[in-house]
Amino acid sequence: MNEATTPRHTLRVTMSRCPNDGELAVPADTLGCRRCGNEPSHLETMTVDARGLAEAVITVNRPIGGHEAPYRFGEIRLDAGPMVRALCSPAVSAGTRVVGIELDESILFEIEEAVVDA
Amino acid sequence: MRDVFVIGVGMTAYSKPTATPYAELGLTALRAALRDGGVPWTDVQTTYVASALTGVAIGQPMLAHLGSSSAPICHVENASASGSTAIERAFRQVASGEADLVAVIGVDKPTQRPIGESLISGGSWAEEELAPILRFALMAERYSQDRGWTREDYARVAVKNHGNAALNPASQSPGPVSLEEVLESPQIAGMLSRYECCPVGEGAAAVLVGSAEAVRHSAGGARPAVRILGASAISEPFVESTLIPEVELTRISAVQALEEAGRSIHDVDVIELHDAFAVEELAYLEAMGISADGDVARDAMAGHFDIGGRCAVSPSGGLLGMGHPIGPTGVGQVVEIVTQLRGEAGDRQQPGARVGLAHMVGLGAVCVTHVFEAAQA
Repeated sequence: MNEATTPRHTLRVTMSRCPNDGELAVPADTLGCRRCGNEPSHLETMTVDARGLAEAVITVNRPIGGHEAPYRFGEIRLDAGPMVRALCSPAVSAGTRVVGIELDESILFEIEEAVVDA
Repeated sequence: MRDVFVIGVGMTAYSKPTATPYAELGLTALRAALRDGGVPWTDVQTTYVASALTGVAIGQPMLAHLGSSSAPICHVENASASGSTAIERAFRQVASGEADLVAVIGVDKPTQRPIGESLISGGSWAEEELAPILRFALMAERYSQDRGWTREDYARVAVKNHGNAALNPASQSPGPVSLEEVLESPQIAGMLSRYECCPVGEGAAAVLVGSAEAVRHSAGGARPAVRILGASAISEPFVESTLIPEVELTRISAVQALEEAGRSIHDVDVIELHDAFAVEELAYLEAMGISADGDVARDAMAGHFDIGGRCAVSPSGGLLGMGHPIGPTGVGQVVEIVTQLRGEAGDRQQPGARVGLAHMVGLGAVCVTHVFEAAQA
Protein backbone atom coordinates (compact mmCIF):
# COMPACT_ATOMS: atom_id res chain seq x y z
CA MET A 1 0.00 0.00 0.00
CA ASN A 2 1.27 3.44 -0.91
CA GLU A 3 -0.31 5.42 1.91
CA ALA A 4 1.54 8.68 1.32
CA THR A 5 0.53 9.34 -2.26
CA THR A 6 -2.79 7.59 -2.83
CA PRO A 7 -5.84 9.50 -1.65
CA ARG A 8 -8.09 7.00 0.02
CA HIS A 9 -11.82 7.34 0.12
CA THR A 10 -14.50 5.67 2.15
CA LEU A 11 -15.94 2.84 0.13
CA ARG A 12 -19.69 2.72 -0.39
CA VAL A 13 -21.19 -0.74 -0.35
CA THR A 14 -24.50 -2.22 -1.45
CA MET A 15 -26.91 -3.21 1.31
CA SER A 16 -30.20 -5.06 0.91
CA ARG A 17 -33.30 -4.39 2.98
CA CYS A 18 -36.31 -6.67 3.21
CA PRO A 19 -39.55 -4.63 3.14
CA ASN A 20 -41.34 -7.38 5.11
CA ASP A 21 -39.20 -7.44 8.22
CA GLY A 22 -36.55 -4.74 7.77
CA GLU A 23 -33.72 -7.28 7.70
CA LEU A 24 -30.49 -5.64 6.46
CA ALA A 25 -27.61 -7.45 4.77
CA VAL A 26 -24.11 -6.41 3.64
CA PRO A 27 -23.01 -7.61 1.15
CA ALA A 28 -26.53 -7.28 -0.30
CA ASP A 29 -28.54 -10.48 -0.19
CA THR A 30 -29.11 -11.73 -3.73
CA LEU A 31 -30.81 -15.04 -2.94
CA GLY A 32 -33.69 -14.15 -0.63
CA CYS A 33 -34.26 -12.81 2.91
CA ARG A 34 -32.60 -15.05 5.49
CA ARG A 35 -35.16 -14.11 8.12
CA CYS A 36 -38.53 -14.43 6.29
CA GLY A 37 -37.66 -16.00 2.92
CA ASN A 38 -38.85 -13.02 0.89
CA GLU A 39 -37.77 -13.48 -2.72
CA PRO A 40 -34.71 -11.58 -3.97
CA SER A 41 -36.74 -9.57 -6.50
CA HIS A 42 -38.67 -8.10 -3.56
CA LEU A 43 -35.59 -6.94 -1.65
CA GLU A 44 -34.63 -3.26 -1.80
CA THR A 45 -31.01 -2.30 -2.32
CA MET A 46 -29.20 0.88 -1.34
CA THR A 47 -25.63 2.02 -0.93
CA VAL A 48 -24.19 2.89 2.46
CA ASP A 49 -20.81 4.00 3.78
CA ALA A 50 -18.50 1.16 4.80
CA ARG A 51 -18.08 2.80 8.20
CA GLY A 52 -18.48 1.44 11.68
CA LEU A 53 -16.91 0.08 14.86
CA ALA A 54 -14.41 -2.77 15.06
CA GLU A 55 -15.89 -5.18 17.62
CA ALA A 56 -13.28 -7.96 17.57
CA VAL A 57 -9.95 -8.06 15.75
CA ILE A 58 -7.25 -10.73 15.55
CA THR A 59 -3.77 -11.03 14.11
CA VAL A 60 -3.41 -13.91 11.65
CA ASN A 61 0.11 -15.32 11.50
CA ARG A 62 -0.34 -17.75 8.61
CA PRO A 63 -1.17 -16.89 4.99
CA ILE A 64 -4.76 -18.09 5.39
CA GLY A 65 -6.90 -16.91 2.46
CA GLY A 66 -3.84 -16.11 0.38
CA HIS A 67 -2.78 -12.99 2.30
CA GLU A 68 0.76 -12.34 3.32
CA ALA A 69 1.04 -12.95 7.07
CA PRO A 70 0.83 -11.40 9.53
CA TYR A 71 -2.38 -9.54 8.82
CA ARG A 72 -5.33 -8.26 10.84
CA PHE A 73 -8.87 -9.56 10.44
CA GLY A 74 -11.94 -8.35 12.25
CA GLU A 75 -15.65 -8.19 12.85
CA ILE A 76 -16.98 -4.73 12.04
CA ARG A 77 -20.41 -3.49 13.12
CA LEU A 78 -21.37 -1.08 10.33
CA ASP A 79 -23.18 2.10 11.35
CA ALA A 80 -25.85 0.96 8.86
CA GLY A 81 -26.49 -2.10 11.07
CA PRO A 82 -25.01 -5.32 9.64
CA MET A 83 -21.86 -7.00 10.96
CA VAL A 84 -19.17 -7.87 8.42
CA ARG A 85 -15.87 -9.74 8.62
CA ALA A 86 -13.00 -8.23 6.68
CA LEU A 87 -9.32 -7.45 6.53
CA CYS A 88 -8.18 -4.63 8.79
CA SER A 89 -5.09 -2.44 8.81
CA PRO A 90 -2.45 -3.08 11.51
CA ALA A 91 -3.68 -0.07 13.51
CA VAL A 92 -7.21 -1.42 13.97
CA SER A 93 -8.20 -3.06 17.26
CA ALA A 94 -11.42 -3.72 19.16
CA GLY A 95 -13.26 -0.48 19.87
CA THR A 96 -11.65 1.41 16.96
CA ARG A 97 -13.84 3.51 14.65
CA VAL A 98 -13.08 2.31 11.12
CA VAL A 99 -13.89 2.99 7.48
CA GLY A 100 -13.54 0.60 4.56
CA ILE A 101 -11.25 1.51 1.68
CA GLU A 102 -10.60 -0.32 -1.56
CA LEU A 103 -7.67 -2.73 -1.59
CA ASP A 104 -6.98 -4.91 -4.64
CA GLU A 105 -10.67 -4.98 -5.60
CA SER A 106 -11.50 -6.07 -2.06
CA ILE A 107 -11.98 -4.10 1.14
CA LEU A 108 -9.69 -3.12 3.98
CA PHE A 109 -10.87 -1.40 7.14
CA GLU A 110 -8.63 1.45 8.24
CA ILE A 111 -8.87 3.66 11.32
CA GLU A 112 -11.22 6.56 10.63
CA GLU A 113 -8.62 9.33 11.08
CA ALA A 114 -6.36 7.80 8.40
CA VAL A 115 -8.86 8.28 5.59
CA VAL A 116 -9.07 11.68 3.88
CA ASP A 117 -12.84 12.06 3.60
CA ALA A 118 -13.63 10.43 6.91
CA MET B 1 -41.32 -44.89 20.76
CA ARG B 2 -39.33 -48.03 21.54
CA ASP B 3 -36.21 -48.20 23.69
CA VAL B 4 -33.03 -47.98 21.60
CA PHE B 5 -29.60 -49.35 22.50
CA VAL B 6 -26.05 -49.20 21.24
CA ILE B 7 -25.26 -52.87 20.71
CA GLY B 8 -21.71 -52.76 19.40
CA VAL B 9 -18.91 -50.26 18.82
CA GLY B 10 -15.61 -50.29 16.98
CA MET B 11 -13.07 -47.87 15.57
CA THR B 12 -9.63 -47.45 14.06
CA ALA B 13 -7.06 -45.10 15.50
CA TYR B 14 -7.25 -41.62 13.95
CA SER B 15 -4.06 -40.58 12.18
CA LYS B 16 -2.42 -38.34 9.63
CA PRO B 17 -3.28 -39.41 6.07
CA THR B 18 -1.75 -42.77 5.12
CA ALA B 19 -1.84 -45.02 2.04
CA THR B 20 -4.52 -47.23 3.66
CA PRO B 21 -7.64 -47.26 1.44
CA TYR B 22 -10.79 -45.83 3.01
CA ALA B 23 -12.57 -49.19 2.63
CA GLU B 24 -9.96 -50.92 4.75
CA LEU B 25 -10.41 -48.31 7.49
CA GLY B 26 -14.19 -48.60 7.35
CA LEU B 27 -14.24 -52.39 7.33
CA THR B 28 -11.84 -52.57 10.27
CA ALA B 29 -14.18 -50.38 12.36
CA LEU B 30 -17.39 -52.09 11.26
CA ARG B 31 -16.05 -55.62 11.74
CA ALA B 32 -14.94 -54.59 15.24
CA ALA B 33 -18.45 -53.30 15.99
CA LEU B 34 -20.10 -56.49 14.67
CA ARG B 35 -17.74 -58.62 16.80
CA ASP B 36 -18.34 -56.38 19.81
CA GLY B 37 -22.11 -56.72 19.45
CA GLY B 38 -21.99 -60.37 18.47
CA VAL B 39 -24.29 -59.91 15.50
CA PRO B 40 -23.88 -61.13 11.91
CA TRP B 41 -23.70 -58.59 9.09
CA THR B 42 -26.75 -60.17 7.48
CA ASP B 43 -28.92 -59.05 10.44
CA VAL B 44 -28.20 -55.36 9.71
CA GLN B 45 -31.32 -53.82 8.12
CA THR B 46 -29.93 -50.41 7.09
CA THR B 47 -26.42 -48.96 6.97
CA TYR B 48 -25.69 -45.25 7.18
CA VAL B 49 -22.32 -44.25 5.73
CA ALA B 50 -21.20 -40.94 7.20
CA SER B 51 -18.52 -39.19 5.19
CA ALA B 52 -17.87 -35.64 4.07
CA LEU B 53 -14.62 -35.67 2.14
CA THR B 54 -13.80 -39.04 0.63
CA GLY B 55 -15.98 -39.27 -2.47
CA VAL B 56 -19.27 -40.23 -4.06
CA ALA B 57 -20.94 -43.61 -3.44
CA ILE B 58 -18.27 -44.98 -1.13
CA GLY B 59 -20.65 -47.29 0.74
CA GLN B 60 -21.36 -50.38 -1.34
CA PRO B 61 -17.81 -51.03 -2.65
CA MET B 62 -16.73 -51.17 1.00
CA LEU B 63 -19.71 -53.01 2.53
CA ALA B 64 -19.75 -55.64 -0.24
CA HIS B 65 -16.72 -57.21 1.48
CA LEU B 66 -18.82 -58.12 4.51
CA GLY B 67 -20.75 -60.59 2.36
CA SER B 68 -23.82 -60.32 0.20
CA SER B 69 -26.65 -58.15 1.52
CA SER B 70 -29.38 -56.14 -0.18
CA ALA B 71 -30.13 -53.97 2.89
CA PRO B 72 -30.36 -50.26 2.03
CA ILE B 73 -27.36 -47.95 2.26
CA CYS B 74 -27.79 -44.25 2.96
CA HIS B 75 -24.86 -41.83 2.68
CA VAL B 76 -24.95 -38.95 5.16
CA GLU B 77 -22.99 -35.74 4.64
CA ASN B 78 -23.49 -33.07 7.28
CA ALA B 79 -19.96 -31.66 7.54
CA SER B 80 -18.41 -32.29 10.97
CA ALA B 81 -21.76 -33.58 12.22
CA SER B 82 -22.08 -36.27 9.49
CA GLY B 83 -21.54 -39.18 11.88
CA SER B 84 -23.76 -37.72 14.61
CA THR B 85 -26.54 -37.06 12.12
CA ALA B 86 -26.33 -40.67 10.89
CA ILE B 87 -26.65 -41.93 14.48
CA GLU B 88 -29.65 -39.69 15.06
CA ARG B 89 -31.32 -41.19 11.95
CA ALA B 90 -30.50 -44.73 13.13
CA PHE B 91 -31.94 -43.91 16.57
CA ARG B 92 -35.22 -42.64 15.07
CA GLN B 93 -35.46 -45.58 12.70
CA VAL B 94 -35.15 -48.11 15.51
CA ALA B 95 -37.32 -46.09 17.92
CA SER B 96 -40.12 -45.92 15.36
CA GLY B 97 -40.13 -49.68 14.88
CA GLU B 98 -39.04 -49.47 11.27
CA ALA B 99 -35.88 -51.49 11.93
CA ASP B 100 -34.41 -53.62 14.73
CA LEU B 101 -30.75 -53.32 13.84
CA VAL B 102 -29.04 -50.43 12.04
CA ALA B 103 -25.32 -49.88 11.40
CA VAL B 104 -23.58 -46.51 11.27
CA ILE B 105 -20.11 -46.32 9.78
CA GLY B 106 -18.20 -43.04 9.70
CA VAL B 107 -15.14 -43.03 7.48
CA ASP B 108 -13.07 -40.31 5.84
CA LYS B 109 -9.74 -39.47 4.32
CA PRO B 110 -8.98 -35.75 4.09
CA THR B 111 -9.33 -34.10 0.68
CA GLN B 112 -10.26 -30.61 -0.43
CA ARG B 113 -13.90 -30.23 -1.45
CA PRO B 114 -15.67 -26.90 -1.93
CA ILE B 115 -17.99 -25.91 0.90
CA GLY B 116 -21.46 -24.66 -0.01
CA GLU B 117 -20.94 -21.11 1.17
CA SER B 118 -17.86 -20.69 -1.03
CA LEU B 119 -19.94 -21.58 -4.09
CA ILE B 120 -22.37 -18.73 -3.47
CA SER B 121 -20.96 -15.48 -4.84
CA GLY B 122 -21.69 -12.21 -3.12
CA GLY B 123 -22.29 -13.76 0.28
CA SER B 124 -18.93 -12.75 1.63
CA TRP B 125 -16.25 -10.12 1.11
CA ALA B 126 -13.34 -12.11 2.27
CA GLU B 127 -12.32 -15.68 1.57
CA GLU B 128 -10.89 -15.70 5.09
CA GLU B 129 -14.38 -15.45 6.50
CA LEU B 130 -14.93 -19.06 5.46
CA ALA B 131 -11.85 -20.35 7.29
CA PRO B 132 -13.13 -21.90 10.54
CA ILE B 133 -9.95 -21.01 12.42
CA LEU B 134 -10.56 -17.30 11.88
CA ARG B 135 -14.21 -17.54 12.89
CA PHE B 136 -13.27 -19.29 16.13
CA ALA B 137 -10.25 -17.09 16.82
CA LEU B 138 -12.68 -14.15 16.66
CA MET B 139 -15.05 -16.08 18.95
CA ALA B 140 -12.18 -16.48 21.45
CA GLU B 141 -11.57 -12.74 21.23
CA ARG B 142 -15.23 -11.92 21.88
CA TYR B 143 -15.43 -14.24 24.90
CA SER B 144 -12.25 -12.65 26.20
CA GLN B 145 -13.87 -9.23 25.97
CA ASP B 146 -17.27 -10.32 27.34
CA ARG B 147 -16.32 -12.93 29.98
CA GLY B 148 -12.71 -12.15 30.71
CA TRP B 149 -11.54 -15.57 29.51
CA THR B 150 -7.78 -15.51 29.02
CA ARG B 151 -5.29 -17.23 26.78
CA GLU B 152 -4.49 -19.45 29.81
CA ASP B 153 -8.16 -20.50 30.03
CA TYR B 154 -8.08 -21.67 26.41
CA ALA B 155 -4.65 -23.28 26.84
CA ARG B 156 -5.92 -25.29 29.83
CA VAL B 157 -8.59 -26.89 27.59
CA ALA B 158 -5.80 -28.03 25.26
CA VAL B 159 -3.71 -29.35 28.16
CA LYS B 160 -6.65 -31.38 29.49
CA ASN B 161 -7.68 -32.81 26.13
CA HIS B 162 -4.17 -33.67 24.91
CA GLY B 163 -3.59 -35.24 28.33
CA ASN B 164 -6.72 -37.37 27.97
CA ALA B 165 -5.73 -38.28 24.42
CA ALA B 166 -2.39 -39.54 25.67
CA LEU B 167 -4.37 -42.25 27.53
CA ASN B 168 -6.31 -43.18 24.38
CA PRO B 169 -4.67 -45.56 21.89
CA ALA B 170 -7.08 -44.35 19.16
CA SER B 171 -5.92 -40.73 19.37
CA GLN B 172 -3.98 -38.71 16.81
CA SER B 173 -2.44 -36.41 19.46
CA PRO B 174 1.35 -36.66 19.74
CA GLY B 175 1.06 -36.81 23.52
CA PRO B 176 0.54 -34.73 26.64
CA VAL B 177 1.47 -31.07 26.59
CA SER B 178 2.16 -28.66 29.46
CA LEU B 179 0.51 -25.28 29.99
CA GLU B 180 3.89 -23.62 29.35
CA GLU B 181 4.33 -25.47 26.07
CA VAL B 182 0.92 -24.36 24.85
CA LEU B 183 1.50 -20.75 25.91
CA GLU B 184 4.95 -20.65 24.28
CA SER B 185 3.69 -22.21 21.05
CA PRO B 186 3.25 -19.65 18.21
CA GLN B 187 -0.24 -18.29 17.82
CA ILE B 188 -1.72 -19.14 14.42
CA ALA B 189 -4.67 -16.76 14.60
CA GLY B 190 -5.65 -14.58 17.52
CA MET B 191 -5.02 -16.48 20.75
CA LEU B 192 -5.10 -19.94 19.14
CA SER B 193 -1.92 -22.00 18.86
CA ARG B 194 -1.69 -25.32 17.04
CA TYR B 195 -2.45 -27.17 20.29
CA GLU B 196 -5.79 -25.34 20.41
CA CYS B 197 -6.82 -26.35 16.88
CA CYS B 198 -7.88 -29.91 16.08
CA PRO B 199 -5.91 -32.04 13.62
CA VAL B 200 -7.93 -33.27 10.61
CA GLY B 201 -6.73 -36.71 9.57
CA GLU B 202 -8.20 -40.06 8.60
CA GLY B 203 -10.00 -42.84 10.40
CA ALA B 204 -13.21 -44.78 10.84
CA ALA B 205 -15.68 -45.52 13.64
CA ALA B 206 -18.79 -47.69 13.71
CA VAL B 207 -21.75 -48.29 16.00
CA LEU B 208 -24.65 -50.72 15.85
CA VAL B 209 -27.97 -49.32 17.02
CA GLY B 210 -30.79 -51.70 17.85
CA SER B 211 -33.99 -52.49 19.71
CA ALA B 212 -34.32 -54.48 22.95
CA GLU B 213 -35.23 -57.40 20.70
CA ALA B 214 -31.93 -57.01 18.83
CA VAL B 215 -30.03 -56.86 22.14
CA ARG B 216 -31.62 -60.16 23.21
CA HIS B 217 -30.64 -61.80 19.93
CA SER B 218 -27.07 -60.55 19.98
CA ALA B 219 -24.33 -62.85 21.15
CA GLY B 220 -22.79 -59.78 22.74
CA GLY B 221 -25.64 -59.88 25.25
CA ALA B 222 -23.17 -60.36 28.07
CA ARG B 223 -21.89 -56.82 27.48
CA PRO B 224 -23.44 -54.02 29.51
CA ALA B 225 -26.07 -52.37 27.29
CA VAL B 226 -26.11 -48.64 26.72
CA ARG B 227 -29.41 -46.97 25.96
CA ILE B 228 -29.89 -43.89 23.79
CA LEU B 229 -32.29 -41.83 25.89
CA GLY B 230 -32.78 -38.87 23.57
CA ALA B 231 -31.42 -36.91 20.65
CA SER B 232 -31.68 -33.60 18.88
CA ALA B 233 -30.60 -32.68 15.36
CA ILE B 234 -31.15 -29.06 14.32
CA SER B 235 -29.96 -26.54 11.75
CA GLU B 236 -29.24 -22.86 12.13
CA PRO B 237 -32.35 -20.70 12.24
CA PHE B 238 -32.08 -16.96 11.63
CA VAL B 239 -29.88 -15.74 14.48
CA GLU B 240 -29.32 -12.05 15.28
CA SER B 241 -25.80 -11.02 14.32
CA THR B 242 -25.05 -10.03 17.92
CA LEU B 243 -25.17 -13.75 18.83
CA ILE B 244 -22.84 -16.61 17.85
CA PRO B 245 -24.86 -19.20 15.89
CA GLU B 246 -22.91 -22.28 17.03
CA VAL B 247 -23.46 -21.33 20.67
CA GLU B 248 -27.19 -20.74 20.19
CA LEU B 249 -27.53 -24.07 18.35
CA THR B 250 -25.75 -25.86 21.18
CA ARG B 251 -28.04 -24.28 23.76
CA ILE B 252 -31.20 -25.33 21.86
CA SER B 253 -29.98 -28.80 20.91
CA ALA B 254 -28.79 -29.71 24.43
CA VAL B 255 -32.13 -28.66 25.92
CA GLN B 256 -34.04 -30.73 23.34
CA ALA B 257 -31.93 -33.87 23.76
CA LEU B 258 -31.96 -33.69 27.57
CA GLU B 259 -35.70 -33.08 27.59
CA GLU B 260 -36.35 -36.15 25.44
CA ALA B 261 -33.98 -38.09 27.72
CA GLY B 262 -35.78 -36.88 30.84
CA ARG B 263 -32.43 -35.86 32.33
CA SER B 264 -30.79 -32.62 33.47
CA ILE B 265 -27.32 -31.47 32.40
CA HIS B 266 -26.38 -31.97 36.07
CA ASP B 267 -27.11 -35.70 35.72
CA VAL B 268 -24.44 -36.04 33.03
CA ASP B 269 -21.20 -37.76 34.12
CA VAL B 270 -19.32 -37.69 30.82
CA ILE B 271 -19.50 -35.43 27.75
CA GLU B 272 -17.86 -35.73 24.36
CA LEU B 273 -18.01 -32.26 22.87
CA HIS B 274 -17.18 -30.46 19.60
CA ASP B 275 -13.88 -28.86 20.63
CA ALA B 276 -12.47 -28.23 17.15
CA PHE B 277 -10.97 -25.08 18.71
CA ALA B 278 -10.27 -24.74 22.43
CA VAL B 279 -12.60 -21.77 22.95
CA GLU B 280 -15.52 -23.93 21.83
CA GLU B 281 -15.31 -26.23 24.84
CA LEU B 282 -15.83 -23.42 27.35
CA ALA B 283 -18.45 -21.67 25.20
CA TYR B 284 -20.53 -24.82 24.63
CA LEU B 285 -20.26 -26.02 28.25
CA GLU B 286 -21.53 -22.62 29.32
CA ALA B 287 -24.38 -22.82 26.77
CA MET B 288 -25.34 -26.26 28.09
CA GLY B 289 -25.69 -24.74 31.55
CA ILE B 290 -23.21 -27.04 33.26
CA SER B 291 -21.85 -24.25 35.47
CA ALA B 292 -23.46 -21.38 37.34
CA ASP B 293 -23.51 -18.17 35.27
CA GLY B 294 -20.00 -16.90 34.60
CA ASP B 295 -18.29 -19.80 36.40
CA VAL B 296 -17.33 -22.16 33.58
CA ALA B 297 -13.69 -21.07 33.20
CA ARG B 298 -13.23 -21.18 36.98
CA ASP B 299 -14.81 -24.63 37.15
CA ALA B 300 -12.50 -25.80 34.37
CA MET B 301 -9.47 -24.48 36.25
CA ALA B 302 -10.67 -26.26 39.40
CA GLY B 303 -10.65 -29.57 37.49
CA HIS B 304 -14.42 -30.12 37.41
CA PHE B 305 -14.20 -31.28 33.77
CA ASP B 306 -11.16 -33.53 34.20
CA ILE B 307 -11.46 -37.30 34.37
CA GLY B 308 -12.43 -37.85 38.02
CA GLY B 309 -14.04 -34.40 38.22
CA ARG B 310 -17.75 -33.70 38.49
CA CYS B 311 -18.27 -34.30 34.74
CA ALA B 312 -15.46 -35.60 32.53
CA VAL B 313 -15.42 -33.58 29.31
CA SER B 314 -13.86 -35.24 26.26
CA PRO B 315 -12.08 -38.06 28.12
CA SER B 316 -11.23 -39.46 24.66
CA GLY B 317 -9.13 -36.34 24.07
CA GLY B 318 -11.90 -34.70 22.07
CA LEU B 319 -11.38 -33.29 18.61
CA LEU B 320 -8.26 -31.48 19.85
CA GLY B 321 -6.65 -34.65 21.12
CA MET B 322 -8.29 -37.72 19.57
CA GLY B 323 -8.54 -35.87 16.25
CA HIS B 324 -11.22 -34.82 13.81
CA PRO B 325 -11.39 -36.95 10.65
CA ILE B 326 -14.82 -35.31 9.96
CA GLY B 327 -17.15 -38.18 8.89
CA PRO B 328 -16.20 -40.54 11.75
CA THR B 329 -15.86 -37.91 14.48
CA GLY B 330 -19.39 -38.01 15.87
CA VAL B 331 -19.40 -41.81 15.70
CA GLY B 332 -16.06 -41.98 17.53
CA GLN B 333 -17.57 -39.82 20.28
CA VAL B 334 -20.28 -42.44 20.77
CA VAL B 335 -17.67 -45.22 20.81
CA GLU B 336 -16.02 -43.34 23.71
CA ILE B 337 -19.28 -42.65 25.58
CA VAL B 338 -20.34 -46.31 25.30
CA THR B 339 -16.90 -47.47 26.46
CA GLN B 340 -17.17 -45.09 29.43
CA LEU B 341 -20.72 -46.17 30.35
CA ARG B 342 -19.70 -49.82 30.15
CA GLY B 343 -16.90 -49.03 32.59
CA GLU B 344 -14.30 -50.27 30.11
CA ALA B 345 -12.30 -47.09 29.50
CA GLY B 346 -9.28 -48.19 31.55
CA ASP B 347 -6.92 -45.35 32.50
CA ARG B 348 -9.32 -42.70 31.25
CA GLN B 349 -12.43 -44.13 32.97
CA GLN B 350 -14.71 -41.57 34.59
CA PRO B 351 -15.58 -43.25 37.93
CA GLY B 352 -19.22 -44.26 38.24
CA ALA B 353 -20.21 -42.90 34.80
CA ARG B 354 -23.92 -43.58 34.21
CA VAL B 355 -25.14 -40.79 31.90
CA GLY B 356 -23.26 -39.51 28.85
CA LEU B 357 -23.82 -36.75 26.32
CA ALA B 358 -22.33 -36.40 22.82
CA HIS B 359 -22.39 -33.07 20.98
CA MET B 360 -21.26 -32.08 17.50
CA VAL B 361 -21.51 -28.89 15.51
CA GLY B 362 -21.21 -29.01 11.72
CA LEU B 363 -20.42 -26.27 9.27
CA GLY B 364 -23.56 -24.57 8.08
CA ALA B 365 -24.25 -24.58 10.96
CA VAL B 366 -25.97 -27.70 12.24
CA CYS B 367 -25.87 -29.26 15.70
CA VAL B 368 -26.56 -32.79 16.94
CA THR B 369 -26.76 -33.92 20.58
CA HIS B 370 -27.36 -37.39 22.03
CA VAL B 371 -27.91 -38.51 25.62
CA PHE B 372 -26.99 -42.05 26.72
CA GLU B 373 -27.40 -44.09 29.88
CA ALA B 374 -25.89 -47.33 31.11
CA ALA B 375 -28.84 -49.73 31.21
CA GLN B 376 -29.59 -53.26 32.26
CA ALA B 377 -31.15 -54.78 29.16
